[in-house]
Amino acid sequence: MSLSEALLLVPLWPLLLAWPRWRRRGVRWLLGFALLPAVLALPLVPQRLDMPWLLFGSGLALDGATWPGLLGAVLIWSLVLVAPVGGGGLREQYRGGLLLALAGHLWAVLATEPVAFFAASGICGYALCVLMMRGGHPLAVRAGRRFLGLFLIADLLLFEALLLAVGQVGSAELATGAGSAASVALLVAGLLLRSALWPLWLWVPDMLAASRPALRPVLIAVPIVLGMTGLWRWVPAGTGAGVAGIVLQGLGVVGVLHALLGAGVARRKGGLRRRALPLLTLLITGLMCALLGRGLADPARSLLPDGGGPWVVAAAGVLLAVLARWAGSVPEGRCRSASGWLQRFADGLAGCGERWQAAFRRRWQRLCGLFVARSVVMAALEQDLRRWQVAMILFVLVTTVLMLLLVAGSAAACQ
Amino acid sequence: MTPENGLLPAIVLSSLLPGLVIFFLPEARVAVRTTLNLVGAVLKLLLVGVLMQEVLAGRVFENRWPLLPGIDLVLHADALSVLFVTLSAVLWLVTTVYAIGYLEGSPGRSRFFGFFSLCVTATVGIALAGNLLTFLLFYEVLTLATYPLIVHRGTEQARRAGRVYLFYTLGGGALLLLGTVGLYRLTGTLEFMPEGFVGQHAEAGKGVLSAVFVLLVTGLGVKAALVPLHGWLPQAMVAPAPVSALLHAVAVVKAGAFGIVRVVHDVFGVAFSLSLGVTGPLALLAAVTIVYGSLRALYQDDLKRRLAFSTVSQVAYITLGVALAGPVATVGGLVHLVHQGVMKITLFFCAGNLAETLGIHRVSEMHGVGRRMPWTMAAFTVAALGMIGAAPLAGFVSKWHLGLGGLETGQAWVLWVLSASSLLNMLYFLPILYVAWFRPPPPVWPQERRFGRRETALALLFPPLFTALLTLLFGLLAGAPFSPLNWARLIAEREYVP
Amino acid sequence: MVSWSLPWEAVPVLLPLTGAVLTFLWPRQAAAVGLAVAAGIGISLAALVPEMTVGEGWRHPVGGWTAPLGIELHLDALALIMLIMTALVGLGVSLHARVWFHGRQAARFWPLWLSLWAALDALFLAADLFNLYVTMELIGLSAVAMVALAGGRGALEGALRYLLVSLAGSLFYLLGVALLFHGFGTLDLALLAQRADFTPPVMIALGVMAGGLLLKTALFPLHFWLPDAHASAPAPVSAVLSALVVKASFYVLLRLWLALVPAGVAPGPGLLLGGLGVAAVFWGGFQALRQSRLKPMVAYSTVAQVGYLFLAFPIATAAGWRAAILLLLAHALAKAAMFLAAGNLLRHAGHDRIAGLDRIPQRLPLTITAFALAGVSLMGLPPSGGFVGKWMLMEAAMAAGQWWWALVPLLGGLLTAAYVFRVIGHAFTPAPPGPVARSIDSRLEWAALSLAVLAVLSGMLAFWPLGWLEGWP
Repeated sequence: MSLSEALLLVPLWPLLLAWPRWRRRGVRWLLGFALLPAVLALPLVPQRLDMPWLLFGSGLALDGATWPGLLGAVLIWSLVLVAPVGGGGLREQYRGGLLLALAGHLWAVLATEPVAFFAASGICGYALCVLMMRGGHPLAVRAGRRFLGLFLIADLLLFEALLLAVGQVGSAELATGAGSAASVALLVAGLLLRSALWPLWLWVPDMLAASRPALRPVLIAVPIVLGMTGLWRWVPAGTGAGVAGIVLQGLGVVGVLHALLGAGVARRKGGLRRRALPLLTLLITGLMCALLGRGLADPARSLLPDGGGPWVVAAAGVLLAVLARWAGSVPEGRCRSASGWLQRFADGLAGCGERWQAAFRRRWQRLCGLFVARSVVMAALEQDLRRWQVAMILFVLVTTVLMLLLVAGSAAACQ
Repeated sequence: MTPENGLLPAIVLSSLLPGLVIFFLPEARVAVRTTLNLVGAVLKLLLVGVLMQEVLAGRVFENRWPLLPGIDLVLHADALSVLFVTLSAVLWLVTTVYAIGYLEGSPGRSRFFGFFSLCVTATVGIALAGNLLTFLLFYEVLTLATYPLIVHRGTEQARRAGRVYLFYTLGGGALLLLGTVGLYRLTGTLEFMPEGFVGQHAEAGKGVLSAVFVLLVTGLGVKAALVPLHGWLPQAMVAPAPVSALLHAVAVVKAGAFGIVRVVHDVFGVAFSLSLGVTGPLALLAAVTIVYGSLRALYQDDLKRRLAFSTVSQVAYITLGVALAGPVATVGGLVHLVHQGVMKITLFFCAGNLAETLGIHRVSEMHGVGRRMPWTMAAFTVAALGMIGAAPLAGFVSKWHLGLGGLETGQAWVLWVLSASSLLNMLYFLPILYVAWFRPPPPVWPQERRFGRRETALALLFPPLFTALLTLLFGLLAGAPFSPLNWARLIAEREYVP
Repeated sequence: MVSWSLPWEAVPVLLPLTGAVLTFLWPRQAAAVGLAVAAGIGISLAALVPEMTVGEGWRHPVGGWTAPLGIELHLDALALIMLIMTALVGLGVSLHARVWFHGRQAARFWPLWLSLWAALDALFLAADLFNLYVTMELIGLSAVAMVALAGGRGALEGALRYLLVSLAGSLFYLLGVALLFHGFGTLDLALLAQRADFTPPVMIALGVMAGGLLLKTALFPLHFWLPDAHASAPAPVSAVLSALVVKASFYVLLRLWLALVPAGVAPGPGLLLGGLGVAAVFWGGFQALRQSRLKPMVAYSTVAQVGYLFLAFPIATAAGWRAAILLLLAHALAKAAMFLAAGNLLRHAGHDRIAGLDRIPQRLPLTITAFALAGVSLMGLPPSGGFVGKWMLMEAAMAAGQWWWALVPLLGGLLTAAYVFRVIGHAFTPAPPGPVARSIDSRLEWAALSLAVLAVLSGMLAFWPLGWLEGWP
């Protein structure tokens, strides 16, 4: 097996380890074992493995653009391995989700084309969502639901964007072709929805409050990292990128401002301790966004060195992960159910449908009723037909009519 | 009869003969019946494998039998036939294993498996039909063979479902017959040809030909569950789970959709259909069906009814792909024929497992099922995510090509329909997954049967896992040489001759 | 025209006649004699089949006296098909009747049945009008006697009504014969076809004869006698009546029409017959749906199916006539199977109320399969003979430019499906069958099933008789 084929093991190994029979060892041991090929692959730059049989033709590549991503991933996930102070292992129920998310993450950072990235980040996102909701804590469940909602909308938008782009550009190599405005917009929107950028970072505070510290690096950092990676790698060059860059910059700056303002307000009100972690998260992501946006909007005046985008993303990811891991526990907030209106909407639909169905059924009964009434009439008619008088009259009638028609018809034929 | 001449009849007979023998077996002869079933299924699979190799190499297979003056009964294998026949053969084997496990100890098994085999025979005949008359013949035989399966349980509900089913399908068959006879009068032939025979032979006006098209598509649309002809499908859910699985994934709905593909491609021809202007309304109808089916599925509590409406919606993808009349869209529609079959059969197998093992028939009863039956629910999850179109599963591949096809032919509204459908799919599948995995189970299940230490019988467990695996592989390895996607590309290549 | 010294074509007439006499004299061996007759007829027809070529067929002058003075037997493609149909149905019915009837009933059944068979074959071979009359009378008398075999008030009433109707019909027919003989001095069909000049007297004669024949064929609204007669007769008798006897008068009508009606005739007469046929299809279908007992339901089904045959009259093309022949053939096989199956169910259950059939068909799986397969042919579903006939009729209608007739078989098929599946639905019940009440001999079931399978396969084999009919009429 050549070295480039060994690259396949990097995402595949965690996937194989997710098989439920490997129960003996602890989750942490398994996770570490799963990270092994990734760690070993780090020095083996550059490698490329083309897999035309995968999806619509894809591959894995470890080069200058993806190496920072791999390093960031290894570092973030290693943080999970570090046992928390005071003991406490990771429960077995998290194993499948963790390994699946790891596999997805590794595949996503090594992917060579957007469809594979989309697929891999999808796997990762769903697995993280499951991890979020696993604990059963109401806040975590709520956070997971919000994350899932945003993630699903992002999925739809990304799907549309990729279709539009591929449809116009003709291939999946988006970064080189000029995408249409619509596709770029959808792409950016989708990727933003996946990351926890302002104003869509609703789920982050709840997640920070309700999840176990060991899992927090993964739950917070990975979606953000993947979203940002997607933005940097797949937004097509040209004016589209320019607009995207400006938008990103703007959002980043606003995020930073929100963070600072929020810190000020919280300090005044006295809840700074509580809000520190989420605001810090927002600050970091905002900064990252602003930098990347600048780089996208105007590569000439970017503050980043050449090929620095992935480094920024990786660094931000690791920073976030460290923060999330060791910033201590955050007291809980209130928990309101926001899904009431959704439930009422669904009930309304159901009621409408039932009424419509009942009305239709009534009309159908009425129609069949007509048929039944006719059948009584028919029974009476048939009885009449059987009476000798009626039958004989009809017989003579039919014969006479037939005779006349034949005479008339043949007269016409003879002329 | 040379080996070439015998291959297609052998494929048809490999399920007919065991079926006829099974009818006469006494109820107690379980081993003989099981052996016959499995031998027939495996034999068919092997023959189909041979056929696939030969058709790939470009060999032509044809068998003729005089039926009417001027028209023969023709069995003919082209790339499209092989797609459908392979799907049927593989899924028949899987469903047979499942049915053997499901109906363990129920009355009337000989009768059931006899009609089961007849049903598959009819499906294979539909796939291998070489002209519209042969297609019609096997299409009606399919109706007759599936009726006893639907009313198998014999309850009043089952009989009512059977009556509704017959009302719809025999009516559809009558329309199809009328259209076929009319077409024969107008064109003088009924043989399937790569670019359709109507364009070359018809002297009649466009109005008449459009009317014939509408007749044919309506007759086929009954089985393909196009709105508003879909009413029989949710009612037919009263049948046992293997029947629902087979009906919804392989036999009946696919036969209808396959028929529509044949009519548009090999009877009228894509170019001629476009010139007649019938593909636009057909695409619109398919789009309406997609959205309507998903909407109705949203507020069904009965699990199988929800899956039934989901089928209504998903099979319309195939019609949409064909009606968009472009190579990529055709690829999307054809590949969805295979993918939807595999995904839907998984869902129905899982629903059957839940009903059989725990007595669960409603979504509201499914709380915490994931803990009790993890493997079944894992298969369900994979299939449901595939239905939603999550990458890298099979459903994503078909939606991708449908979307691209829509863009390619300048009908970008297809993207809206696909998005709406994905959104609605999420809305009715994800809650099921959520309650199954994340809610605590009830203290006692409605009607539990224990199978030792396993979650359910092996014969009930392996089929859904196998088909869920296929769902994953068809998506992940879509670029591989023998994937359904590549086969669909082959069909589109041979159809759209440049 | 070839005259044969060994009249193979006379065997189908002579053999059953001899058999009738033998079974009358030796009632103990009646069943065996009957089966031997059936076998013998089969062999003779099998010998005739390879000789069948397209064309006029054979004529055999009886006693060496040719027409117009003497009587000739005429065997052409249509007659051969009718003979084969009679032989097949007759074989099935004989096998069934062998087990069905016992003792005195059997002693009465076999002579009557064999003389009926002889008369049928003679009718199909007849080439002149008076022969047709004689054989029709024989058929009528034998049939009436067979209906009365069951005894009981219903059967006797039905038989009496049938007798009166048959005589009335024959009377009108004879009137027409007299008119034609007076006009042309000959009764031979072929000679009449040449000499007839479509003047009003000829048309009047034809009209009168057609009226009588319509009464005997039970076309709507003259069908009133059929349900009683066919439903109250014993099962094998009902089978023969519906499958063969009704077709005999249709055959005569067909021959007359083709001989005497001019090619350019106005559509009037054809439309009348077609219209009555359409009415028969729907009336018979709806009445069948309404029935609460099985055998009357099957009898009304006959009323409906006869209507299909008359759709060929307005179409009046060769393709239309051929379609009618095929439908006739398929219906004969299917209806015989259906009546035999219904009889089995009746004997097993002691009643034939449809609503009370719950669980009974399950104990007679072969019978209910026979019923279902026969129903498939009646509905016109592939691959049965009914489907092939339906297709050809629809095609002929469209070819003649009268496409609206094509809708009638379609709708009629759906109506048939409604009442057939009403019965078949009862074969599927949730509970397993209870203890066996009165089992029936499996040979009864197999007789019904073999006819039904033949009806379904006849579609695949239809090309054979269609090949003979090439160029006819």
